[in-house]
Amino acid sequence: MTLRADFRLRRGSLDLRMDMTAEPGQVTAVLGPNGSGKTTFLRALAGLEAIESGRIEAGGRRLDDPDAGVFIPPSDRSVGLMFQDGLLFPHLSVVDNVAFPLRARHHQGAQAEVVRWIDRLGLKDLTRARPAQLSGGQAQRVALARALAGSPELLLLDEPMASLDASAQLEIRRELAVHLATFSGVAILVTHDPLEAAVLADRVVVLEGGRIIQEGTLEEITARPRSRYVADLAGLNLWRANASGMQAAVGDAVISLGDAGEGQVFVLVHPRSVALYRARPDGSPRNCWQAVVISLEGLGDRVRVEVEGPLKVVAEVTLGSVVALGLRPGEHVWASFKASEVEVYPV
Amino acid sequence: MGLSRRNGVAPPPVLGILAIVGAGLLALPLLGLVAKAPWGSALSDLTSSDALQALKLSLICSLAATALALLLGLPLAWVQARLDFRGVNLLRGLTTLPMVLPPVVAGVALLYAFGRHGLAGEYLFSWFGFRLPFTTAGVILAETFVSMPFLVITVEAGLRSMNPRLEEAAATLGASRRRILGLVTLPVIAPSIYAGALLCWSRALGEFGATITFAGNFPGQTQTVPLAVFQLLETQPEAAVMLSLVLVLISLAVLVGLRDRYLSPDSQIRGRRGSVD
Repeated sequence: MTLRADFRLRRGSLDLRMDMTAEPGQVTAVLGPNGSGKTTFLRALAGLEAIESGRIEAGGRRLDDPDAGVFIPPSDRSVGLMFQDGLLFPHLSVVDNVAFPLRARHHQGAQAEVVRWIDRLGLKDLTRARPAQLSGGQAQRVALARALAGSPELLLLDEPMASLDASAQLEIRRELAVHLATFSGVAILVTHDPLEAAVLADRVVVLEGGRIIQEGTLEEITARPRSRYVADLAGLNLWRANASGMQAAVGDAVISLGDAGEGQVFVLVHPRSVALYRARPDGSPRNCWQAVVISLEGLGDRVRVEVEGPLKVVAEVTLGSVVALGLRPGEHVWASFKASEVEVYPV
Repeated sequence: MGLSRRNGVAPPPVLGILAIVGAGLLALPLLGLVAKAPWGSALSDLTSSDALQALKLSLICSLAATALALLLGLPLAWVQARLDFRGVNLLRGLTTLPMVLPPVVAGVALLYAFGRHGLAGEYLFSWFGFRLPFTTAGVILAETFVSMPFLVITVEAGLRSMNPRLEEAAATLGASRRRILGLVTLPVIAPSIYAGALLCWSRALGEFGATITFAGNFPGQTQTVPLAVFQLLETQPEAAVMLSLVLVLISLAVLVGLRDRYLSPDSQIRGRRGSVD
């Protein structure tokens, strides 16, 4: 069952335009900041939100096609939706929550299926518990079992770990990895955590302001970020610049390039390529600015130093250099990087 | 004295005095009832045919009124809680009004609606030969009129405090709209339905003004316990007191029932079924 979604949907200030295809057995992560339309996208796939134009198709069956007057209600789509906050039914025990999709469809004989999912998610000792008695991690395991128990063709995961503490996140991520690997339908994982996308998904779709900005594997996307958001996720310096030959202008600053560029380009510099000095460095490297230290952030034995001059630049230096240079917020430094370390690609 | 304030600054003494007077005002009448009750003849007073007849009629009418209120009030509460249309506030005002309306006015209003020459009563009679005033059915109607708002506002509040996304979750798990109602919505708001029905029933049981105005005071037909108390007070005051005590007991039971199931904070979790069948 291939999922094809090509539609437009407006909701408040959100104008969501999606155009994507997902194959069975494939896990697609939809990565994006808050308000980018990720959850609305899932709701449209589930049938909780009607699209305005375009169509949603699963395995050749039209789920939503306003032009043709087709709208399949959520209960008749083969969907399993796992919500961020679990949304377990408070009046039902764990086993009844897991059995719900079967009971809702009058599949009363499918008790074995329920027991199987209870076992697979390690919920045997909790079958009689009420949702209010469960920890966050346990509740999400029940939510996952419930989403899978109906044998959906389309599994939708809406930030399944966002409301969990760190150890429960680890537990659910492990659980999801196991079950997504064996899931034969189309799985869509909405997240704002690149680690989740890296661990669980085969490919990533980056959604920003209701538009798909980038699509591909996480490596592909972070190698050539096409937005501030992705660059920040990957911890890279990214500017949109106007290039002309070996130079690119970002506001008032001019960056010397290693390769020629023309017109609107992205300029990418890895923080490790940025060097910091107390005094203006000798020679005269072309990309060199005086700047003020704004913040320092520890990252293992490295420190990410954000400095602001004509450009805002993040440098990644050793803890030793931080001490040697006496870096602290408000201090003046010189920041520089070589033209050969600058990557340029068209917008 | 062993009294201790919970916390904070001592209140001025006048507050304490007024509070004691207030408590006395509420408690004394009940104490009087208990103290002056003719306990010796309690059983014979209560089992007199008049008293038994009134008790039976009260029970039937109040239960019927509660059933009617559930049948019509649940959908009404759902409409008021979930649908957003022009005039929903007007509707809510109209359906709540009987709660604050003087019962005798309710009785008069019912007469002008369902009486022989009333707005609807005229047609009920000429088309179906059906007469409501001064009948047992009239008692049920009067009780429903004054008590249904208690059910509607309680259930509406329950529906509003329920997370509507639970219904969305049920829909994505394959439940049709009817199944969602039966498997999720109603069980989740069950404590509110229970509390609303209990409030509604106790209000119906105590109904006096609307009943006597609309249905009259005919023993065996429209004379419910409150009406019987009113009449017996002149002829057989002992029986009136005993019947009053029965109503006090029922009221107490209702209060306990509500505190146990509805007013306690963890009532969302306790006391409801839902098993794989």
